[in-house]
Amino acid sequence: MPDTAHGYLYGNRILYLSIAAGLIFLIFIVQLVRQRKLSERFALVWMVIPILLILFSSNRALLERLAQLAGIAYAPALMIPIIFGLFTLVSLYFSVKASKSEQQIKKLAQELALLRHAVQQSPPVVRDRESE
Amino acid sequence: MSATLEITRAPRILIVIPAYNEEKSVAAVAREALASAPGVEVLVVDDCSTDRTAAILAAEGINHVSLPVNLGIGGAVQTGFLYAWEKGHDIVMQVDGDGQHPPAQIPQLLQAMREEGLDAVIGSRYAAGSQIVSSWARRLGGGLLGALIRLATGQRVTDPTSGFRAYNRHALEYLRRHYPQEYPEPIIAIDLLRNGFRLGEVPILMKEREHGASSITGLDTLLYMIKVIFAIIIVKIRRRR
Repeated sequence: MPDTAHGYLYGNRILYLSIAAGLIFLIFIVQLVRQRKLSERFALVWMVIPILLILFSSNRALLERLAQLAGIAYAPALMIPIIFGLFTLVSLYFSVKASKSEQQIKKLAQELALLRHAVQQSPPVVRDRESE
Repeated sequence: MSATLEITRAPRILIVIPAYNEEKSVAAVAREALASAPGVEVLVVDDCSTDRTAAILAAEGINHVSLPVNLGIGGAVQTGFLYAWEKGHDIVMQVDGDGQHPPAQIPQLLQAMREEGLDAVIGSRYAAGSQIVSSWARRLGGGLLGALIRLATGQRVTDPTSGFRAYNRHALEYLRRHYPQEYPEPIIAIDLLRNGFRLGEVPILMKEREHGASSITGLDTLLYMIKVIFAIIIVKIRRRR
């Protein structure tokens, strides 16, 4: 198929699409950061996916070599396990972050409840003196 | 540790009552708990209830803290334990706010703790001498859990899901730092045993729930079991603290 110019383009179509999708995704992430809806730290993690996507899609020779190593005949099909792996890693990373946040929120809620109780129990004199 | 608590003064005891939407029963449970033994203190932990639990506690003048967000039973009980640790209580107890645990039997747990030198005592519905009739699913679930705990720790625990418990300050020091968020009761039993605490059981008589529904019912029992078994495996393979 890649013998003719048309055939080559046809065979690479999925790669061009991936590059386009990667770029759109990248722009979307940058947009979210600009709108302060996504913190830079998380944005960096998410950016790994489109950057690698673009890298692999724009370098057919690299993709072919990796596909050969993995025993995949049709090189662009290699993108599927790569993307799947990346998304799995990113999801796992965020689950770890969520677990930590959960612990922090629990601790804050407990401290808040106990402090509120202590403030309510403290005699007014002490409270006035502290507010001075 | 507990030996050093054989002291001249009477031990200071705090009864922690976790309550989530227990407006019908919580005040009565708290009052009964207060009357169960001389000198005990009570702290109700209102787990961000959406009913009138907080209002009733305030109106009745019952010592309570209100969590700003719902943490679940684990986070709520731990809040009470943090309070007990800060206030210097020698013994902390857990009595659920639904009225299922008979506060009148609190002295039995305390007596066992004192006489057998235990760090933790579980009020068991199934230990010899107890006479509660329970659904077969519950009993089977409890039995399976018990078998698992025995496998993991070598000790028999007949009622690992019971939330009627007493801990001394030694165990409290550990639990204030490490309290499981979900399915805390069976996990704590294993965690304490694995970390060298002395844990025992006392047979108790338990009432049917007065109000509301148990958090573990029917088909959910299966799902609960799967989750707890998973959690137990995690505790077993997790690094020791």
